[in-house]
Amino acid sequence: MNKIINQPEQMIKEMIEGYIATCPDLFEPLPDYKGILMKRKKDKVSIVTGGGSGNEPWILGYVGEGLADGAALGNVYIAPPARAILNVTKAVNHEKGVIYICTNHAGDVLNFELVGELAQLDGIDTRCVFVADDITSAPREKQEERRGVAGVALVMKVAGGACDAGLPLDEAVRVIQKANRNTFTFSVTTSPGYLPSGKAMCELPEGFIEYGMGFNGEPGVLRTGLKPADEIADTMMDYLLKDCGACAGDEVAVMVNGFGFTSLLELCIVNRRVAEILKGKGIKVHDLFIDSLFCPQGTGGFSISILKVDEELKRYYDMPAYSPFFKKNNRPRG
Amino acid sequence: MNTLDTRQLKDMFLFVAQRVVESEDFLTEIDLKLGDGDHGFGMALGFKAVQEALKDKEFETVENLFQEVGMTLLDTMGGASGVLFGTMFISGIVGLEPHKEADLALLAGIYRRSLEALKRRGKAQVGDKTMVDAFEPAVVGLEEAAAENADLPAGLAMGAECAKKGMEHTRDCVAKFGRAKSYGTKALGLQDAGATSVWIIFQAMSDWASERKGSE
Repeated sequence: MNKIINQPEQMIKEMIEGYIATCPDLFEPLPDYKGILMKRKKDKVSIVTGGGSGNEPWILGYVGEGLADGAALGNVYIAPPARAILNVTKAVNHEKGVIYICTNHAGDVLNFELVGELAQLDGIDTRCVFVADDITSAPREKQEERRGVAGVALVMKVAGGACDAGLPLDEAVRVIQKANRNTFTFSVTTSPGYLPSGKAMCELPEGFIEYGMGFNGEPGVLRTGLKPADEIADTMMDYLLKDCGACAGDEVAVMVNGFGFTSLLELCIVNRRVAEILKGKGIKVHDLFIDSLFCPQGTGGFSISILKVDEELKRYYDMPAYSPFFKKNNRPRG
Repeated sequence: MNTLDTRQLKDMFLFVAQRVVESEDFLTEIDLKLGDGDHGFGMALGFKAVQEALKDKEFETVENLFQEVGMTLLDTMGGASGVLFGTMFISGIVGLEPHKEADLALLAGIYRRSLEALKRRGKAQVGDKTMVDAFEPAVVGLEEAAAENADLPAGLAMGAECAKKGMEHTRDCVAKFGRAKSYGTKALGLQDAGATSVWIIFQAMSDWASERKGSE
C-alpha cells in the first residue's frame, strides 16, 4: 500500500502541524510534546483526551468547541507519554477540575490514572472516564472491561455539552459515565487497513467480511462471505439491539461510522436499512447520522454506535460542537 | 536505626539506583528469554537518570523524594515499564501529609498503596508472572515486620527475602501479559524480568540499611 509520509518518526508531529494550519485561530500545539490545545480557555470543567494515533479524526479532531479542550497524542497505536498528558492538563483551564476521556485500552488506562495522581500532587482535581463501547470484547455483565472504539464520539459529544453547560466536576462525570454505560458499538471489516509502514493490519481474503474485529486486526466474532448491504445491517443491528436491550418506546442516537475505505454511497445504503429496522421495532430515533469519526488507517467497513438517550443526555447531546473534523448539531433544525 | 531522614533516604535510593544500573546485563539476559530483551536497558536508563536527579538535590519531605524518583523513571524509561515503575514510587504518596522522616510503617504503607494501584490498573494478580509477584510479598514482609516492631534493617531484610521468594516463584507461573504470554507453558522454569527488578530494588534497600547498621 502506498502511504504519503515524510520521515516516519516525524509523522504525528507533522500531522498536528498541518491540522492546526487549517484553524490557527482555534488551536495551538502543545509545546515540546505531541498534543493540541484550544486557544480559548473557558471558565469551566475542562476535558482532556488522548491516546494512540492512527484512527484519525479520533483524538486530534475531538478537540474543539463543545468537545475536548486539549489532547495528548501518542505514536500510531501507542499510548501518549504520561508527561504529555500532564502538560496538557496544566495547559488547559484546570481551576474547576479536569475530566480525562479516553478509550479503554490498557496503556491508556495506566497512563491516565497515574497522571491523575500526578495532577493531584499539583493540586489539580481530575477524574477518568474510560469509554468501553465495543460489545464484542466482553459480555454485558463486564461492560466496563470492553474496549473503547467509535462510540467515544457520542460520549465526547455529551461530555462537551455537559461541561459547556457549566456542570460541576462530579456532576459532569456522572452524566458522562451515564452516556458511556449507554453506548454500544459493533463493527464489520471488509478489507484491511494499512499501517503507515504499508503493512496490512489484518488478513482478510477478497469476498470475505468479519464482524467485531479489533481495529488492530484482533480476531472478530464472525467471518462470513460478502453479503448484500441489508443483510449486513440486519446482522449488526441484531447483535447491537440484543446487547443494549433497546426496545419499542426507547430513544436512541445512532452513528454509522465509515472506516475510511467504504464509500458514502455504501454507507447511505446501510443507513437506510438501519432507519428501517429502528422504525420497524418502534424505537424512537433522536438522531441518526453518517460520519467518519474513528477511522483505522483506511480500513474497509464501518461500525454502528447506539447511544440510548433520556431527557438529560439529549440536553447535552444536542448542544453544538465544532472542530474541522467533528461538526455536529450546528445546522438549523427543520 | 528506626527512622530515616530525607538525606538518609536519598542515600538509600542512590544506592538502589547504583545496584539497578549494575544489574543491566543480568536483567537483559533474563528478559531475552521471554521478552524483548530491552528491560535491562530501560531499567538502567531510568535509574541512571535517578542518580543524576537526586545527587545534588536536597529534599524537604519523604514524599518529594519518592515523587522525584517516580517522575524520573516515568519520563526516562517511557512506555509501559515507565508507567509501572513510576507507579511504584508515585501512587503510594498521593494524598499523604508530608513526612520529614520515614519509618518502617510509613514505607510499608507507601508501597502497599502503590501495589494496590498497580494491581488495579494493570489488572495483574500474584501468579500472573509480573512484577506484582515480587512486589506483593515484599509489601507483606514490610507490613509484618512493622507490626512486630522490627527495626528498620530487619524489616527491610524481611521485605527483600519475601521479594526474592516471590521472584523465584515466577519460574513456576505461566504469563498472563506481554510477550511472555505467547510462550505459554514454555515459560515455565524462567523467571520474570519485572519481578527480578523489584527484588533488586528491595534487596538493595536492605543491603544499604544493613551496611549502615554495621558501621554505626
